[in-house]
Amino acid sequence: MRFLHSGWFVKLRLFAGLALLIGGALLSSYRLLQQSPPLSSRRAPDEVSAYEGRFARARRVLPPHGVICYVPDFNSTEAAKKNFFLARYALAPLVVRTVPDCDPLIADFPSGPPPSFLDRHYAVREDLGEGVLLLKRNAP
Amino acid sequence: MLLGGSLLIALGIGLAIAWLLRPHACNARLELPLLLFLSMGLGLGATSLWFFLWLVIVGPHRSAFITSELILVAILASLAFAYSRRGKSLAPIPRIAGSRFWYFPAVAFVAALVISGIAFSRYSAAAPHGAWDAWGDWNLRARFLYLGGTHWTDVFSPRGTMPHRDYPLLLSATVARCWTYVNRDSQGAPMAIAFVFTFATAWELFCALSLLRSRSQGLIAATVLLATPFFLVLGSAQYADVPLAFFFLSTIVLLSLYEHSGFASRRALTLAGAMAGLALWTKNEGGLFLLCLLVSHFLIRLGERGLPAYRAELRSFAAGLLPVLAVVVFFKIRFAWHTDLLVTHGVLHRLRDAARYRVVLAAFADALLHFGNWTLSIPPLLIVYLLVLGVRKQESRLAVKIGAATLALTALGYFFTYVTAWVPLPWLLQTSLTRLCIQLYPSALFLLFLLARTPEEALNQASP
Repeated sequence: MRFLHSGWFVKLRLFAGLALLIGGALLSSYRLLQQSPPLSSRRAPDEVSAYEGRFARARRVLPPHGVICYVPDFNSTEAAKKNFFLARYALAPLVVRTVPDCDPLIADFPSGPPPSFLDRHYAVREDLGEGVLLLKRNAP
Repeated sequence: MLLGGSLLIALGIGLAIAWLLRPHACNARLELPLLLFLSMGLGLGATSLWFFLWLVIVGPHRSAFITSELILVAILASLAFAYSRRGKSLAPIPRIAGSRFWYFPAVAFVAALVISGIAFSRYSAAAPHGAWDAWGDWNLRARFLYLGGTHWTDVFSPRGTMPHRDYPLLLSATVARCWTYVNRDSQGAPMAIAFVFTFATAWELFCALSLLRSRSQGLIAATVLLATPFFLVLGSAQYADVPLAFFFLSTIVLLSLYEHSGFASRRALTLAGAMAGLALWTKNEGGLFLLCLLVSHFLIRLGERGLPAYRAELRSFAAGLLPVLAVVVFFKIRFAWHTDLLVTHGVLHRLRDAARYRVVLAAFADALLHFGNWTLSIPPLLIVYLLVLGVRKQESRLAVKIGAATLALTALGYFFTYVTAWVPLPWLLQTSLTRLCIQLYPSALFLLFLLARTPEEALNQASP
């Protein structure tokens, strides 16, 4: 058992420990490099920029600050929730309310408004394109 | 160009403050790299405080604000220069015996650095607005601070649906400050800030361990950090967790420098206080860290050195902490008194629920092994490495004791935050636990490599 404490074995153990740690670490680095999206693969704008682009006209029409309301109900689906958060980011520094109790009111339907939506409650003030509508509430 | 200027001015302010408070007055060449990387975070933190105060007191006036920062950097640089000429020298930091051993870790470090740089750039380019919490929270608030003009306080409006209105402003104010320089809300600013914090953390780890232990020790630790995929991904996501990790690490590094100065330079404690304060200005978790640090320091130092020495140390620490704390308290009272963390209803019921402890414990155990998203889990390898190299013999281990106690108490605080949380537990654990691990990870690596023998020491012992 004396060889366990001999100089060469301690050195071997040290290099093995170091190689294991650094090798394990660099293996993760290599995988990270493989998994990261290559710069050349970017053709379309990222999701957030694309969503922001839909609100470019709205930002020109809306006041620079203040409160606006937003439909549809952001709690209806996970997708609606994400759409609301993206719209809130795109419209900042406007304060966006999720309760449709104020004017102006922004309707955000990336795949177009459902047919029944504009029935009685709202009138379209301006169609801002790409599923974004500027609405006003109808008198009850 | 202007973005670079804004970052350089922040660095100048940070460096001047760090120079004024640097632990050793005679080891400039040795300390400068560490001071430089400490100054990056310190400067960004200090200028974010200034930007916030400027908005409150003066309002959004771009050219006046930039002029005020130029005056500030000139004053601080003059003070630092004057101080350099009159500075009193302390005992020099002992040089670590050189060795050729560091070439192997150096090659690994360069490889990890290059790969992480490429990966960071790729992830940043793929998501220039950052990930969900970045655009949904931090950069959103930055837009209010910058684009809101005189209505910047709308960010705290209870009429909207702003998330976490009580979150501190370091990151958002830093982004808004850079946009003020650039004069538009470009994505380059948050990306650059994320880059600075991510890589300054790794370089700080390297420089601190190089100074306190050996170059090879610093290289190995920094390689392990840079080769942690989730650290890089989270950094490029523009979240506040990596900046918070930077300030946690800086606080503990400065405590170590204080110990290394033979407890002679309490300026290091003042700087540590400022860093702990900036952690509090970054995220609410910084408050828990600060509390745990104060408790650990009290318990360990009072027993070791008695009340007078403890009070002297606390005074020095408070000298750095209080200016930052004053701004944070003002911010909380004036704008962000509401918090969604402290929902006391049902807390006792949740504390008595054994199932919640089991769920949180299982999640902690799993996260401990996998939070870095490694190909091969690194924590067990670090334990093997520590066993192979052994622990260095040292009389005083103040920084290790206080640092380890602080991290352990902070982790315990996180544990009970989960146990008592009112939001759905699985969702909360899934969305936040790995991020909390990253907050503590660089500091834990620093302490581990501070404690471990260096490869040179282990080799010297092996040689007959």
